[in-house]
Amino acid sequence: MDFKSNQTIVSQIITYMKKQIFSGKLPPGHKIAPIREFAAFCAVNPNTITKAYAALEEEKLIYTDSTLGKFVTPNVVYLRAKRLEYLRGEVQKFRCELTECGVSEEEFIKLIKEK
Amino acid sequence: MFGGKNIQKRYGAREVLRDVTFAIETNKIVGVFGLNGAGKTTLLRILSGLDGYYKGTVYKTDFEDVAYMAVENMYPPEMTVKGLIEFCATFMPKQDTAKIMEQIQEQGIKPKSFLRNLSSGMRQYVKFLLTVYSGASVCLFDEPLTNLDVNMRERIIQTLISEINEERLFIVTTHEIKEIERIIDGFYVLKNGTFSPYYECEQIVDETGASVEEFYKEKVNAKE
Repeated sequence: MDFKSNQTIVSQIITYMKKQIFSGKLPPGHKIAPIREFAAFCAVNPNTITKAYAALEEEKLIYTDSTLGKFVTPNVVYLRAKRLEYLRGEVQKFRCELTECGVSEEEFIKLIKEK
Repeated sequence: MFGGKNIQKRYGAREVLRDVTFAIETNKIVGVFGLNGAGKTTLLRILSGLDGYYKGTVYKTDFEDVAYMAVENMYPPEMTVKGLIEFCATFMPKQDTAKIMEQIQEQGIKPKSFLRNLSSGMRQYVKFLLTVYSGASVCLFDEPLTNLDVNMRERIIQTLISEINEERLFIVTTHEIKEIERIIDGFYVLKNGTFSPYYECEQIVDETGASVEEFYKEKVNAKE
């Protein structure tokens, strides 16, 4: 996995996992990789993965079964709401940037609809 | 908990370590960064117990033992790889000899080869394996990545990740900060014979928006 060095690796892993979950590549109720395995895959310190998983668990996107491991929450309604919240946040960020270039609401919508 | 208190070392009139004080918990991979001649190797030799001529204290809890991967070659060239591994097992009773043999053969290194017939990269890799699979709870790696090809470096990074656990801690000196920054928890900068405060990677990146390497460059070049 490629990481930007001026953003924390934890935050980049959280974003990566969210994209996996929200896109359905990691479907609701699906088992996620154990910490050490995922650390090896990303070539990062296992402590970093532990922190990222803890943050995702805090947001209730994943949960831990003490014997079976970690899973994506099976709560589809909740996931849908969290996905929308995430997408709105991203659009908001994007809009703020464009506003700094003097883009109005009409122009923003027009730009998005352009191919 | 492994650490040092007011460690001082001089070579004749030259004071290399003025006052090194630090403490590291287990389950951490910690970098020690510094320019050439800053005293990184001197410090690691002291921490490993190889160099007993210093002032100050190295402290560790009873269960902690130390393994050290040196830059220089400390083993006789007429020793075989297998001989070296068996020799190390005599003072590292928890050494995972089977694992070392397996990794060595995976790299195409023959156990019967003499050390003098190995390339310097292979010798370095053997030293790395002996340290990381020594079973010691404190492992000191002096420049483990230097002079190795990309595959070997990747292998070392992966091994460090898979072998760190709640009972161990790794200290790594290196100039290859970009390569190590994603696997270390934090680092010290060794400069003017003393340690900087402990910098936690995530906190640095989060607070400064700079990469670990950029941050380090600024610290090491700052005028006091």
